[in-house]
Amino acid sequence: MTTASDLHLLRHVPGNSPVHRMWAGTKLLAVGGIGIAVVAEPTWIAQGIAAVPLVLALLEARVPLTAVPRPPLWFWYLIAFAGFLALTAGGKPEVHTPAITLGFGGLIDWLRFSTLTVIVLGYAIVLGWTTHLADLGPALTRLFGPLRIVRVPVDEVVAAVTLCVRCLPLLIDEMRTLYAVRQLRHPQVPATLKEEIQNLHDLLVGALVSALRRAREMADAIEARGGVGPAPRLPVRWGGPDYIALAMTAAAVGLIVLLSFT
Amino acid sequence: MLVLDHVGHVYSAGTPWAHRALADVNLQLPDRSRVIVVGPNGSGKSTLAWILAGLLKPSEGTITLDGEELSIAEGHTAMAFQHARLQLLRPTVRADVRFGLDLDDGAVDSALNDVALDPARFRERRIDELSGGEQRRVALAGVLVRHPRVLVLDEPLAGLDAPSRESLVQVLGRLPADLTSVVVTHDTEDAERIADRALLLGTGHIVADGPVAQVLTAAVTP
Repeated sequence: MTTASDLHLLRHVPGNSPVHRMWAGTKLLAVGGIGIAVVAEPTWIAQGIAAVPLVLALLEARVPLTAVPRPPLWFWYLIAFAGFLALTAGGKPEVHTPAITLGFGGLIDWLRFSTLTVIVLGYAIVLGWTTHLADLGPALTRLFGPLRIVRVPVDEVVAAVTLCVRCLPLLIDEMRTLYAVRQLRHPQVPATLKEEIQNLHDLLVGALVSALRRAREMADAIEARGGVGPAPRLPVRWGGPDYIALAMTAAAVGLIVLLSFT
Repeated sequence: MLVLDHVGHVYSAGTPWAHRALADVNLQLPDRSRVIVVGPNGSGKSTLAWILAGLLKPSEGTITLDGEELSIAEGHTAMAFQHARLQLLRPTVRADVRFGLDLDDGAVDSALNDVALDPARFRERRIDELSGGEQRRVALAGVLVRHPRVLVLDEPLAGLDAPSRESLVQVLGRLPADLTSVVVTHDTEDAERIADRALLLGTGHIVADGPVAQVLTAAVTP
């Protein structure tokens, strides 16, 4: 059975490829820029443009195929069910037969938004595979730096983001423990919808209480150390791969924006 | 008898993050054993605990209880985790001890007595009003009330103040006689009060297995 911990979300794959060596800020700019552009203009052509840098980054990162997340079977059933529901919505283009008229408009929209999700998630996954989590904080501090002029609390925002990212493995570990407790103390498989809802309720309440407790402890620890403090401002080391990636990002975003005006 | 035959485990096998936690562990735990498992961080203690509790299927070898493959569906195994709050799934002590079972108040009171909590004081208390040590004992009561044959405790004494620690050591020292207990811990101060046998793990292997004093001496000898 696939568990949350088997999905390896945002987990770094050691390597020395150009994508690994890039500054984390370059990758964040690429993911943010292309991600926002393609979500704002989710046409097939825009998705094709967005997919090009993603495929090149995947090839260049040389991450083994075994790193690709393997969602559980029920996830695929759910996606297929959503596709079936979209098909029942109908819409143009339509195929007419003597017995029925079948509209594929809904199904095509479902397909378009499914591929959009894959592209956006693909960018996030490549970022996770090739970037140490510890590099994200300093990179965000640099990128958000200009916002200090308009009094945005950059240090606090960066601290919040990095704490969220760092807490993800803890949260996964606690969910694993909660699930194990539930299995041991109530090993019977839920037989009815009511039992299933009760099961989910038990897990969610446990997870919430645990997350709140963890957040309180972390807040106490931050207070004890004198508050958030300024995030480290490490020097930015630009290299050839960074310039190429930024040029490709600018080209992709520019093309998508142009497309939206035509 | 609980038997581990050439048990090994690799986390995330077949991925770039594959990591071996246990290798070729052979172990026999007769009924009513009282065992403590010690070893440095990363030696495979927690993985062994999850396997003994039936929560993790080892990627290599087999684990059997009286010749049958171990399964949590049978309810023969139980585990108490370090983080007690995660194990408490109902708002009050009574409701939590009864969780998943059809029990009367007498059985709840008996379970609370087993973990040295006065039923009259604690039965109606809310879980979030309890101290860390009390929460740990309520979690243990919820486990014991199921009458498991094998009980695994992961770091039961970690983070407790001296009085809470002493109370829990006393509870662990007088667990039901028909229970096989396995205590995974870094804390060896009261090891001989809670176990007769010790296992020393090192990088996924059993390095020493024997009487508590002998194994703990081996653990500190370079």
